[in-house]
Amino acid sequence: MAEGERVSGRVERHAVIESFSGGREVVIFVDGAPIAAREGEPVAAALYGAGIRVTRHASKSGEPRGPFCMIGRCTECCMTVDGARNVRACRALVKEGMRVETPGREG
Amino acid sequence: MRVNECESMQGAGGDPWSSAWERAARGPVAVVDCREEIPCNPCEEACARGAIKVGEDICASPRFDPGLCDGCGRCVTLCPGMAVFLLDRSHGKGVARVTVPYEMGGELLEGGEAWAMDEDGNALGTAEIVKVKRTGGRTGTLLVTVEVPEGWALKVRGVRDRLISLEAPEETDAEQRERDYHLCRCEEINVSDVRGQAGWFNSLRALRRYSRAGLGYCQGRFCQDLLRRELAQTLHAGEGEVGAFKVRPPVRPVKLGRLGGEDA
Repeated sequence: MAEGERVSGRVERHAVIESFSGGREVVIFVDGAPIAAREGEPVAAALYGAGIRVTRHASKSGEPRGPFCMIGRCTECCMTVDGARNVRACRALVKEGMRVETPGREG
Repeated sequence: MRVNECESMQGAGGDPWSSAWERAARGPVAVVDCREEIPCNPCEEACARGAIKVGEDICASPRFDPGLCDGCGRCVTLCPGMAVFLLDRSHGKGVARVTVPYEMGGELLEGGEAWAMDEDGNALGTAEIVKVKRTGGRTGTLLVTVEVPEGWALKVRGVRDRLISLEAPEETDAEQRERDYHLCRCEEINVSDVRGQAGWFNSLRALRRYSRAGLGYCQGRFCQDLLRRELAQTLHAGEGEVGAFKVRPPVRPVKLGRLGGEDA
């Protein structure tokens, strides 16, 4: 898939995993653009749901990076959230009107 | 000890190397190129004519008398180090026939071509296979006779299947992917970085200082185990031998405000 192409990764129904029922639908802003999200879900999940796969770029090679471990260890999903840098998107929870930015290569 | 340095070898010409060379003009003769001085003497047992002597000191280099050798090739088959070959210069016209043991895969057929290899494993060129003899031993050793230019006569130490490319095999996609796999994702250190640099250090902490592997965002949480496994494998060491990163608090990301008493 080309970078920038957006295909929703949100799973509405799953055979085994219980659906995420909580959370009203809110809007958050990613690099200034509004996306739909559910309050209280991880930011990484909201991004994934909106088809955004790239959370940052590797500092040396500039390769695109995305959520990898989903449990707060790998730091591949570090983004700037409401002005705070290096926030792990898989650990930060969605709040209405949240501003999420893809960091520059300097992090 | 090289054959041509071996003073104890007695032959018609005095110099054992040249006496074997002269003897080879009349038909096949063994050339014992044994240099290791290791405890080993199957060659002595192999020779029914008593042309090869190791003697009481089993570590001694074999002494060889070309005058007693009838070129039967039994010593070529039985030397575990493949240090004996047969030389035959009786076919004239600037060619020599060299008989070497062959214990590798591939098919060598009489009338076909083989790579003639020197003692460093480099190909001298191609040579015609004039004879392939199955020796029926436990190792399935073949005695392969190739015809080569006389100039190669004392250089050939082995043969290889002509159909097997001497080029290094091309890297497969899977090997390429493995080599490019990031062990340290933050600092972008991949498998080939660790393999290529491992000669410079012997511990995980030295690897970290040298390459920055483990010094990125994740502070080693993600990469340490992967780096340890790869470094240990590369150094042929146990995972316990390459050590661990020194761990200092905080062991996971904590906002300074939290440490200062601010609510989450």
